[in-house]
Formats: sequence, C-alpha cells, structure tokens
Amino acid sequence: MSITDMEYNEASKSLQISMKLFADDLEFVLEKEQNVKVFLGTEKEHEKADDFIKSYLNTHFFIEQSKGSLPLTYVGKEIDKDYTWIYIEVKNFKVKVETLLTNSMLIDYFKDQTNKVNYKKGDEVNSFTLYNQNISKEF
Amino acid sequence: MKRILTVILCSAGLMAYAQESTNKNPFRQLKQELPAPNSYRTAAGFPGHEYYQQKADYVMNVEIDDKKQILAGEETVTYHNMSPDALPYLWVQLDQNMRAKDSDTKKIAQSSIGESMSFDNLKRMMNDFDGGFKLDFVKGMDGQDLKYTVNKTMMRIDLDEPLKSGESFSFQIKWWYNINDRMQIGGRSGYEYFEEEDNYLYTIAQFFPRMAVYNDVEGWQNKQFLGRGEFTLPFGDYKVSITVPEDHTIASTGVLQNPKEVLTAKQIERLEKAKTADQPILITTQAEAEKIEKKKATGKKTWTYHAENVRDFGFASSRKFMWDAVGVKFGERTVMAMSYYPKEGNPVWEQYSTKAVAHTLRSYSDITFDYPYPVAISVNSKSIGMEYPMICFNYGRPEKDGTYTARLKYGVISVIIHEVGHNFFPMIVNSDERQWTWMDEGLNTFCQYLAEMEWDVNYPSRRGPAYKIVDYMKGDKSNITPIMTNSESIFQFGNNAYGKPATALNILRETIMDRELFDYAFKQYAQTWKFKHPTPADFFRVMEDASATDLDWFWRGWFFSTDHCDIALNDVKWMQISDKNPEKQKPFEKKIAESKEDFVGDIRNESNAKNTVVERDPSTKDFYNSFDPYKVTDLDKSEYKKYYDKLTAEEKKMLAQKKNFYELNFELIGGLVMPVILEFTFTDGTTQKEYIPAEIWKMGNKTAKKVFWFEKELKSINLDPNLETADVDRSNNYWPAQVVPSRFELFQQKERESENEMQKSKRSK
Repeated sequence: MSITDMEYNEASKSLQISMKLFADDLEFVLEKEQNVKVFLGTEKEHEKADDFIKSYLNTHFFIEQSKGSLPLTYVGKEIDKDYTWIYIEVKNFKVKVETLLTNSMLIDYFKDQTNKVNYKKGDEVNSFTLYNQNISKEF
Repeated sequence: MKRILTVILCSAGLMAYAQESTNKNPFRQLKQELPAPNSYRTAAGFPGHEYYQQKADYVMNVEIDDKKQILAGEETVTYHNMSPDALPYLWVQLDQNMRAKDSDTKKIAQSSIGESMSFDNLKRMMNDFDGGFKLDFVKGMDGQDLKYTVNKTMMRIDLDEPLKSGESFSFQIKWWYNINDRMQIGGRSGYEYFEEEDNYLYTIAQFFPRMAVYNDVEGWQNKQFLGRGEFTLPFGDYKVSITVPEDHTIASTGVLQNPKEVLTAKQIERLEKAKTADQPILITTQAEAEKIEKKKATGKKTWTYHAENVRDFGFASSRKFMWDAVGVKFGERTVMAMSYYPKEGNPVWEQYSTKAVAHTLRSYSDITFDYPYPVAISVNSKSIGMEYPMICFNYGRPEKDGTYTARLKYGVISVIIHEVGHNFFPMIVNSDERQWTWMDEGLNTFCQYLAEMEWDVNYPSRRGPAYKIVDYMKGDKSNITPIMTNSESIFQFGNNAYGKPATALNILRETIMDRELFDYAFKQYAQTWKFKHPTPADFFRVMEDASATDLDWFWRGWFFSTDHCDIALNDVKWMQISDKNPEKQKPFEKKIAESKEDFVGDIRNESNAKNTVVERDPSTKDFYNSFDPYKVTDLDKSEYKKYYDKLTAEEKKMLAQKKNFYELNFELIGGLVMPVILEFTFTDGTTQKEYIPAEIWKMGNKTAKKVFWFEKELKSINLDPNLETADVDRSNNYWPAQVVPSRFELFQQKERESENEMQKSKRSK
C-alpha cells in the first residue's frame, strides 16, 4: 500500500503532495524500468535516481484540471527506513475546479498494489483508494 | 411490478428500524460473535474435558530428478481416529493441484490489462505450467486399490467400514509432480535455477498428499487451497528418506538418521564441535561448496530423517549449499540452530543467519515455552520467506560485489526471526491458517517485534508500534476488512493480518493491560495450546480469563471492525475555589476580565474616547460612571467575615488549599474506544502523566468531561503524548491548540536548512 497525502496551501496557491511508498518496491520498479541498479538512499545511489523517479512519476501520476494535465514540480525524496517519500508540488492549483487524479504507481509490477489518497481541504479530508481496476478518481 | 417494489421498500424500512434499536454500545460482550463454550472448548478458552485431536503418521520415500525437475514419492499414512465420531471417509490435501493446468487458483485470479504491464506479470498470467499431482495409486495395506475421488485440491478416500473412534487406518499413495520454477511463476516451494553453473536449488514443501484436520470446530477442514490461506495439519511422526544426486546437501525437518552414509568425517566432527561452540561453526565452507557446485556427480545418495510430533515436513536440496551450525541450550537439551545458503547469500548470511535463528529460539521461548524440537534451520531462498516445522526458506542476496544496504541486512534478520518464529505459531500452537491468517501471522509478528527490540534497541522494526499502523487505519475504508476475515478475502494482507494484530497486541501489553498481566496471559495461551489446535475464541478467552481484564470492547474494535481511534481534546476550563474573600476574589475576577480578548470595534473606539457624550458633557455622569466593581469595600469585608465565621474547621481547611481546577472536554471522533492518556505540562516546566481507562466511554458516550486539580498552574496538555493509541489525527490532541506541520512542510524546511544525509555523504567522498 502507498499513501499519498495532498493538501492545498493557501499561501503558495499550490497543492503539496507527500507520497509514501515501500522503498524496496519502488527500487525494484525503477530498476526494471531503467535496467540498472539504483541503490536508493545509499552512498552508491545512481546519480540519475531522481530523474528515474521523475520519469516514472510522469507516466503514473497525473493531476488534470479543465482537461489538461497540470505540470508537477518534483521537490525531492527522502528515504526513511523501509519507506521512500516523494514530495511533489502542483503550482497554480485551483481548489474549486473539478480535478481528475490518476495514481497507478507500482501497479504495473505489483497487481495487488493499492494506493490510498488523502486529500485535505481545510478541515475536510477526502480519502479514497486506487488499485488495479480503478486507477483514477474525480474530486 | 409495482407491488413488488412496495414490498421491498417496506422491508428495507423495517431493517433500518431494527438496526437502530439494537445495542450498539462498544462495550457490549461478544456473546453473539463467539461460539458457545462446550465440553471440547471451555468458556475460559482452555481445552475442555472432552477435547480431542487426530494424529497422522507418515513413512515416505521421495526422490528428486535433477535432470527433469520432477519430485516422485511413495508414502504410507497411518491415521489415528481419536475423535468420538465414526468416520465414513477420509480427506487428504493435494495442495500441488493448485498448480494444475485447470486449477481454481488460475480461474479466479483477476487479470486486467493496464496501460502498461511488465513482462513478469505477463509471463505469470500466461503460464500454462502443469504442476498438479499425478497419482500412480492409492492402495490399502493389503495392496488393493482404494476408492477415491479428487475434488480439486482435496481427495476423499472412501472406507469400506467407517473408521471407529479409537481405531487406526493405514494406506499407501504413490505420486509425482513437476517442480515449479519459483522465479518464473512464483510459489512457496519450487526451484531456483542458477544459469552460471547450471545448478538448481530446491526448496520443497507441501509436496506430498497430507491428511486434512478433522476436529470439533470445522468437521473436516476441507476448504480448498486457493493459494493464500496456508495450512493446518494434524500432528504426527514422520520417517522420510530423500534421494538426491550424491553431491547435493539436504536441509530438512527432523533429525538425520544416517550421517555416516551422507556426511564426510570432517563434517561430522565439525557438527559435534558446533554443539558446544559459542559462535556458529561452518560444517561446509564456502570454498568447499564452490568446489562441489562446479562439477556434477552421477551417483545418488539417500538421506533419512525422523521427526516427532510435527504437523508438516519440508526440505531443501542443492549442490550449492554452505552450511553452518551452533548449539542452543535449553536446560540439558541442545537444539541445533543451522543455516544453509549458496555463496550468493554471503557475506550477510554467514554473519547473521544462524545467529538470528539462535536469538529467535531464545527470545520466543522466553515469552511462550522452551523450543521443543531438536533443530531449527534457515535456508537461503531468493525473494521469499516461508515456514515449515524446524525449517524455513528466507530471502536475502547481497550485491555481486559483496556490498549490501542496511535495508537488506535488517530485512534478512527480520525475515529469519519471523519465519523461525513460525515454529511457535502455527507449527506448535497449531491454529488453522486456512481460516485465520492473523492467528499465526499476527501473533508471530508481535513476538518478532519483541525479538527485534532485543536484538538492538534502535532496530528499524516495520510493524509493532501503534503509530506505524495509523496510515492503514485512517481515511478511506473501502479497501480494508476487519482482522476477523477469512484468509482468502483479506485486502492488504500485510497490514491486515500481520501489522494490525501485532500492533493491537503491543497496545494491550504496553497500554491497556501492562506487561506483567499481558505476559502471563499470553504465555498461558501459548503453553495451553502448544501441540493443540486453538481457535480465535480460545485466544480471546484465555487472554481475559488469565488477566481479569474485560477485553471484549478491545477485540470488538480492533479485530471485528475497521474503526480507527481519534480522540479530541476540545476544550479546557480553568477554575480556582473561591473562598469569597473579596481581597483575593476581586483582583482575580479583574485579571480574568482583563485577560479576555477585546472586540475589534472596542479597540478602535478607544481613540474616540474624548469625543463621547459623557466626556464632552460631564453632567451626564452619575455613580455608575465612576463605580469600580473590582474595588474592595468595607461592606464586602464585613460580609465575608460573617460568612467565614460560620464555616466548620474542615471547610476552612479546604478553602485554604490553593488548587487550580481544570475541566477537560473530550470527544470520541473515531469509532474505536481507547484509553485517554494525558501529559500535563506546568508553568514551571514540570510534567505529570494521567491515564484514564477506555471505560470512560462505557455508556456509548461520544463526549466525556473530567476534572483535574493541581497546586501548579498548567501551561499545556498533550493527549496521547507517547503515540500509544494509534490516534489518526494528532492536530486535535493539544491544548492550547497546536498546528502540526505536514510532512511536506517539514521536508521543505529541512531542504532549506541543511543538506540531507546523502548529500553530506556524497560531499565527504
């Protein structure tokens, strides 16, 4: 299971996203996609590791408003024991516009993968789970 | 058509009404959820006076064909009917039929084609491997064929005469099957192929037709094997002879009976030395193993093993194995902790595997019972962790250059602790895995956490602490199920059957019961059900019965529901006892009045004070314009004296105490009832902890108030300061309210402040 916490930041008018994935699973997928060892979070980490994550994100994580994908800004990653956290910012996110989120991270390699999304808007939390047969959600 | 619609509407209405009027109190007892106690299983959770269990003994000869990857065997099963019932037929499990071409496992596996699909997934989906059992014969001891019927992964043997209570029945089966390639199509057992030197590493399990369990709870446990719900089998004694290429080394359940025939004199000598060594001793060194794996012998060797009182049998075989061992003492008895691994497992395996095995035996024995078997073995096996009696197959392969990550190291130690730990649950405390995954995985993961904490206080445990389960329990519940869900129907296996029950037990031990009460009850459960077949109700009942703690609310919330814990500290009122002494009371009232926030209009009007009517025309002023309600008058003083003189001595003493009273208002936002744990911080910096048991919610109330009093003044309150309750929303746990920064904000801050560990390490090169 992965967890994606999304929160709109009034001050920066952006959507701030923290995504938590099993480090081993993410590494496995990146290595399969790139056909090189990545060594995430170690001294031997591949110098392009961040680019690999970006390129995988670009084909598995989309936020669309008014029928267009919003550009994602990759803020960084963090490895914390068993997990890798990925931080993403979506600038010029419009809170009141209907949004389509697609999150198929890791599902192409792990068919039982579930991706839970918690979208926090003020005090309200909209929480839903995406998986193999259902990778997108409108909110 | 219309009439049908009315009827449906009516009944829906009635159902809603019926639901509203039933007892929803979270503390109601589990009388309806748990089976009624009886003479087989008591209300205390113990075996009753008529408890029984069946026994199945096996004598087997099996052989690996290393050229064709076929396993063939012939077995004699002796089944002892200890039940009070006469049995007209026997059920035998044929678990390998899960790999038959037409198995239900393949039919019900959901498949879909996404935007992209990996080759591995495609291969697995399209595999047409035939790995089902081929039965050569099923015969009685007289050599006559027995009538049998195969229903997928189950085989029924029809008896001429019902097998009476107390009687035994023996029969023979000859069988073979194609061994699966674990790397291509997965599986708990199978082979791994090493292309470089054209070698195979076999990890063989659920490989023979095995007797199903018959008991008072399920009758015959003949629920089909679909792949997820693992196994339960009756206990019995095994005599197994395994024939393999003569240069193979075997690791197996049981004790080797013919060491002189299969081991070198040097190996036997080293084994003897290992019994009393304080560090693991290599029985086969890496250099020796590498020499063996380069050639292929043409002859065969047969290794014979005996195992007593086990519920299953597994083994591994390869010409690649190194082997090390060390003795672990239990009183006068020495248990051999051993590991078998190819060079690909080193250097991690030689350094850690056997030590992890030995540590597990000691740690688990402390909290349950002394490990009763003569050996405990860990075999290196790519990508998996899987357990059988006395032997388990565990992952862990460093990089080719011998380096490895901290994650791999701790992964290896954790998987070995976990799989060796399975000897206790469910190999010895023999719960039914095909019904309840949590009964072995959950209890075992809990013990694993304790063993990891004993390995190193900073051990990066994945599961155990309450706060680690929060992400799983909070938010959307459409893809989660209660722990009490059958093994085949669980979403998120790891969180549901491993993480959540392990966390729940840890919370019982640390927070609800305390360590002493919990440890006694848990040990009682383990010792009572060792070498027996417990059910969930037995576990729930023993834990309560041995501790005098009503835990029905806890089982209901954590095991029978998907509710989460969210308790809020909504409001805090501060009061002091008024002794009505105007010389103290009035300044206090003034302080409170002045401390109240000013309305924005009042602040702005202040500057206009000079222009008001009363200022411009002093004749509009009277007594009330100059009256100071906080001034102490003589009348106030004399009235106070009259009041005070009438008080009794005891009342005067109470008044003399200078206490601060705080009324705390709690709200139960989540559905899970949990204790309320508070940390008070005073203005002088000192702190004090208070624990309110979960029964504060026993009326089914959603709010609760509680008054605390202190000499000192409070600065702040923190609800659940040590993250013990898995509270999913920490933002409502503080007074005064605190903003809890999001993970994203913390990361941004860190990025701004300093470089991360990796940047640092890169720079230092």
